[in-house]
Amino acid sequence: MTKPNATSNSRKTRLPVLGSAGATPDSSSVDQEFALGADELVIEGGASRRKFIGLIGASTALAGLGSTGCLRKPAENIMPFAKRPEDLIPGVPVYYATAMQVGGTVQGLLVESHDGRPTKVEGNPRHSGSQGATDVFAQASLLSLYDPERSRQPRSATVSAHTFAPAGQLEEAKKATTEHLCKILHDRSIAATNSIDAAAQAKARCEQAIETSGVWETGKAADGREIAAVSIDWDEQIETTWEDAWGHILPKLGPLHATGGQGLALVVAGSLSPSYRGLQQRFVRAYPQAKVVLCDPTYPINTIRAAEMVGGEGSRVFYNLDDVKTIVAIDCDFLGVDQDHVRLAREFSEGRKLKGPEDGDKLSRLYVVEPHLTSTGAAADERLRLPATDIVDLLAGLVIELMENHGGRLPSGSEGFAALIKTRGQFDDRSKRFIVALAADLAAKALPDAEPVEGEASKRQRVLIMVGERQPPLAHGLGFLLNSMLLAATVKPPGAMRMAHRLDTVPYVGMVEFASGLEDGTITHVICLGSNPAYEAPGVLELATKLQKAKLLVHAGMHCDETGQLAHWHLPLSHYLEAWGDLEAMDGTTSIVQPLIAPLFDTRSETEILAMLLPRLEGQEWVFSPAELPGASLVKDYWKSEIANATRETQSLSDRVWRRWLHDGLVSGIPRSPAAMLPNNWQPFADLMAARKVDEDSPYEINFHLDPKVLAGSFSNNAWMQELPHPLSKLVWDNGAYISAALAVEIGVENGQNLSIKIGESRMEVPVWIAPGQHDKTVSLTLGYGRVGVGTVSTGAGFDVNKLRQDEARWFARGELSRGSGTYALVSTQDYGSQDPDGKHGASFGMFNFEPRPIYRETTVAGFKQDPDFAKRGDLMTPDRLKSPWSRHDSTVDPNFGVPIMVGPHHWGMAIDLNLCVSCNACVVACQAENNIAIVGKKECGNGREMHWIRIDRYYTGSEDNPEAVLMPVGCMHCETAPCENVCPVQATAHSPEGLNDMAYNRCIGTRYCANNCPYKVRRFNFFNYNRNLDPVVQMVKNPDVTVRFRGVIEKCSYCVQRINTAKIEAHLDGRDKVRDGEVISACQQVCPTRAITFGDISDPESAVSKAKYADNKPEYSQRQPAKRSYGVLTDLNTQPRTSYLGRVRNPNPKLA
Amino acid sequence: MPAIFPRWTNKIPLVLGIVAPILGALLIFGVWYWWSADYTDVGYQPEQPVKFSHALHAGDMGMDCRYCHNTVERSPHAAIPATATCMNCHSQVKTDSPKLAMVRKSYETGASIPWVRVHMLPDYVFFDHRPHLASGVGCATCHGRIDGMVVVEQAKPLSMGWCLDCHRNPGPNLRPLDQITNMNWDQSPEQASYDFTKDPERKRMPSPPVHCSGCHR
Repeated sequence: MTKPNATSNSRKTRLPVLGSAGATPDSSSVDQEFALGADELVIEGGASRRKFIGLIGASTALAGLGSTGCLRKPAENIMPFAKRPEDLIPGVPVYYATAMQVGGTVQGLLVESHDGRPTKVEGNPRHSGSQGATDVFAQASLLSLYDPERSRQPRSATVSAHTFAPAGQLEEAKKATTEHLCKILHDRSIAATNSIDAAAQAKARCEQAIETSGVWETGKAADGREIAAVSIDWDEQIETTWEDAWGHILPKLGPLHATGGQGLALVVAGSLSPSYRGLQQRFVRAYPQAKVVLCDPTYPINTIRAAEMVGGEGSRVFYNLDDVKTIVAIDCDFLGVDQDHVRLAREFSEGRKLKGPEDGDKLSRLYVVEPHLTSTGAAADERLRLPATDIVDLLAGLVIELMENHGGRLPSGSEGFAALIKTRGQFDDRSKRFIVALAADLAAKALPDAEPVEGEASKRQRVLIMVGERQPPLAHGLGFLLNSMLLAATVKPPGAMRMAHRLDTVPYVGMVEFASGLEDGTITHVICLGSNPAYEAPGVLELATKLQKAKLLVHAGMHCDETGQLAHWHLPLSHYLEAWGDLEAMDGTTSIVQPLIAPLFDTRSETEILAMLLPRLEGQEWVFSPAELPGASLVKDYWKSEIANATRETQSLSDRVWRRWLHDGLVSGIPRSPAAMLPNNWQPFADLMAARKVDEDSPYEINFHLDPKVLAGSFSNNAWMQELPHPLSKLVWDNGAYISAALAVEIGVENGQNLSIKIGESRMEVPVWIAPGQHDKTVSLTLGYGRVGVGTVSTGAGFDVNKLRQDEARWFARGELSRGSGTYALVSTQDYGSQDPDGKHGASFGMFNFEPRPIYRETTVAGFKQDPDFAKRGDLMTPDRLKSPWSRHDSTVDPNFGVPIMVGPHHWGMAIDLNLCVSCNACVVACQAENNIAIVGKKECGNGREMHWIRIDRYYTGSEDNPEAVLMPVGCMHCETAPCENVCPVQATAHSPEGLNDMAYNRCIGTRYCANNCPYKVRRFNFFNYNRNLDPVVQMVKNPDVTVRFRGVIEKCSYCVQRINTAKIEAHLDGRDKVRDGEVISACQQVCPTRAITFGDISDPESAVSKAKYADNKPEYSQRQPAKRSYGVLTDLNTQPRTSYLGRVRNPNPKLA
Repeated sequence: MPAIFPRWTNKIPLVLGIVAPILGALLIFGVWYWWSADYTDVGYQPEQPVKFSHALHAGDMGMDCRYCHNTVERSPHAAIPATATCMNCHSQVKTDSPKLAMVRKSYETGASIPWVRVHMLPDYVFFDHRPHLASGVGCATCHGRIDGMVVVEQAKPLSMGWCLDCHRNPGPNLRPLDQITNMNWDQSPEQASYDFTKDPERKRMPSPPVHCSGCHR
């Protein structure tokens, strides 16, 4: 017998918000594509020029009336605390440690809070997963918190109401209830549709529904009055309360205990939270027959499956790149979206630093094999385009090559597996040479004793094979085998591939089993907790249809997304900055997630919701919790019991320890993840290898990738992410089908023309975007687009390619391609107005022809040795020919003649190391968050009006068969002789004595002469009033230290002058004349996972930036020699940029040249 | 045939020549004065929700400015005090004065008292109290004789030109660091002889910015 003791009359609570139109975003704006600040687009497109001017005239007249002194400026209130919390100083930001999960990656964070409002996310330097940096997702997560279209309260299509009536008048009570409920629905309809007819119909339908199918509940209140409550199924979801939701959901779960939860399914996203997993385990104990379904495309299920095959249940694998000299990334975007990408990028960058040619031998070498050019592929020294299907063969070829020609020794127990390893033998010449050269390089470094190679150091060096999440478990198994053969897999920390063991695993079932359970009726009650199966599941499973068969479908999510819209009950989830939790990275680093702000809306965390759904056994009865438990106590209680378990009850969690954990952002002092182990069970891979079948009939391969901007959809409604250019294609606001130029010719399509893609029975059309570096027989698609009903930002952006997927664990499939019908406008932010990066062509306009001016400069290790000054070779003018008519350093010049004299105590400058930039885009979004940069929408991006202060330019180089991509962050160069300043008619942009190219927005009158005259195209113009009419919730994201710009002004990178000023003020308070090196960190520098950006005072010869830029340490920076790789862009215009670049040095394998 | 223009019209150019410059000068003077912050902003004296008298508290009783505005040395803002600060004394003094009803209510309910901002800078100006205090700019230099104001009013224009006057030549407005809250410093005998460049208490000489990004970011 089960007895859910949710307050039995809770369903009778009135719906206080029913009918309040303000609770949902204005539905009339749904058809607009871009909500944020893009209202003016409507006027621009729809109004005639005359009307536009008329509007401007009228608004000017009104503005004049209001501001000419007839009226004072509006009164402004100051609202101080009644009791100010201790240690809170208004105006001084406070940082709190927390953590965030992205797929299989955990980053420790420090989040800046301005007067209680999180405004910027930074990495926690103590956390191994972030090391002070973050990825682009952590930066953008801030805007997700302030998404006004987040779900704000529970919603349900089951609508109920109740009224009281004096004793004995039950019929009156029923009548009143009917009237009350129908009036609510009537009013709601008026607010939504503005139509009396529609409202009258709604009322009539309500009355009819109550008559025919209303579920009545009657009773007596304590004071003897009659209560009549009715609930009906309405045709759309209506906002309701948590009490109402629990009152309906829990009684339906209660009876399931009789059968141990038969028919119940909990659909969760992959979580690295120990306390949440603990609750899931309790769920399994409470409902032993229920299924826990994993639905999360971002979670590394292939990697985990492979690790569990080789190491037993609970095994996890992770990589470490410290001192690894040869890194082989096999379809592994470890610098982009794969597991632990921030930590791996930081470790990777350590092996890519070099001062001069003499360091060339110490440079690590990165081999990348992949079908689609990713950020990792752009960073590669040697890259092989290979269909994802052939990757198992490539790994098999490597194993065979190592065993046969380099004396590779198999780990014990793997002989049976090794004996079955074979390739399909389909490789072309380049692939064959690649395998031979790669095996030789690996063997020479890792197994020098097996085969001493002449001329190479005989000391053993570390190598690592990384297999990406997109590959099936068999590829991972081959990777484990290779790492074991190459001595890369070790138990103790020096190992580049390590395994950890988790004890608290939950037996998940896959989507296929879930779908068939729904189909045959064995699953009837579904709770989707933070997951969205209707959208994320492979299309072939048709879950959106099958979910509707469930008798109870509860969905909890941040948005009322595709699943939420189908659900009987939708519950709003809290953002991670609003919720308590904990996260354990794959390497065992554990953090407590603490909230920065109380939930903005009436939301709960996943932990809190799951705890509410869990009954506990009291005597013979299962009883639900009588009240919601706060997340803080759930998490703390979990760790109390963890400490008690770990220390056998000898210790307890003291407040001091707890506060230390929260402060540091790290859980320390208790042993977690105890068992480190080696791969030892190879039999499952032997079975997989033996059973391997490849569909050779379909000519093309269709690849699916997590999108580097919106992942699998979790950032779809984030305008920062939508407007962020894709790392390589530079597409904004859309995804496309990436194919190579050769395939485009073969099929006969061009950019923007639709490509028809068919896998099995599924077919869809996606516009083509030609992506050099893509394998010729493959097409790549990214997830996370084509959302329906999630919000105005994501609506209309891109195409939902989940429809083509067949299995959530398979990221590529064979299929057919053909030319589709129609076109679609894809917008890329780079390929307009671009110059010729190699400088090979010049221009063809006769007298306008210019000399080649290479913007991006790179060489190889050998080339660097040959010509240490390679980076200067692109300069048309040698420094001695660059003469300026004035000096900005001569203090004897009369400043009244308009030449600002740079005599400040500091001279700010920046160095960007192109060897390290991996185009992760974190700087672009960090800058956007720090500097209040507006979103302009797809159409304005198409007009070339994007607002990013720092952009990452991408250039393709090399041959069309095997192109390389180079990436270059470009912001304002802060030229010492800035062309923009000379042409400003109102002195709105001027030089500071410290060498900053200042921009005074309040002076700017919008002539845009400066933008015309800037050779770097870094000045951005506010064509519209993007920040006006922002939703009050979005306004909270703005940094109070930076002006929010108005229409009609130019803006651009300020070198984070707000941070410079803060540091200078603090130095002043400290009694110092100068800021110390490292006290000013620009937003882009702080977030960079590879530390490619160095910023500081170039007048200080010992500062980090001086050391990066210059070869000597003369006190006067203009006298110093530039460092070996240092160069400036377009310096022959004598702009004397303060931002300089360090040319890239690749380390290719000479044998593959 | 009579003349089209009567004889007196000959004087028009002369009169215009004299009157037009005067009118022009008056117009320029009018704009310069009536549209300047000296006229538009100085003297702004909004009514406050609680009739708090600085003349009584800071003047007659001689309370230090920083008893209430206690974040001025640690934050860009000299925060308006929390209600709890008022109640430090007013839980003992004038405990049932009707003028303090809103203060007591705020303390009980936690609702803020909606003070009206007097000293308002545009949103594109970033002012920080801390370096000004550290350089020895007194409260009265910018806020006037608050100790004599029953209702606080804006005493100085707070315009960009006014700021720059001091940033270009800070000397006359600097005082010893221990005299910052002294409202009478300008009348004191030491004032005439004070030379900030010879003050041994100063850890560094002030170097106020006069470039755009000093205040606009």
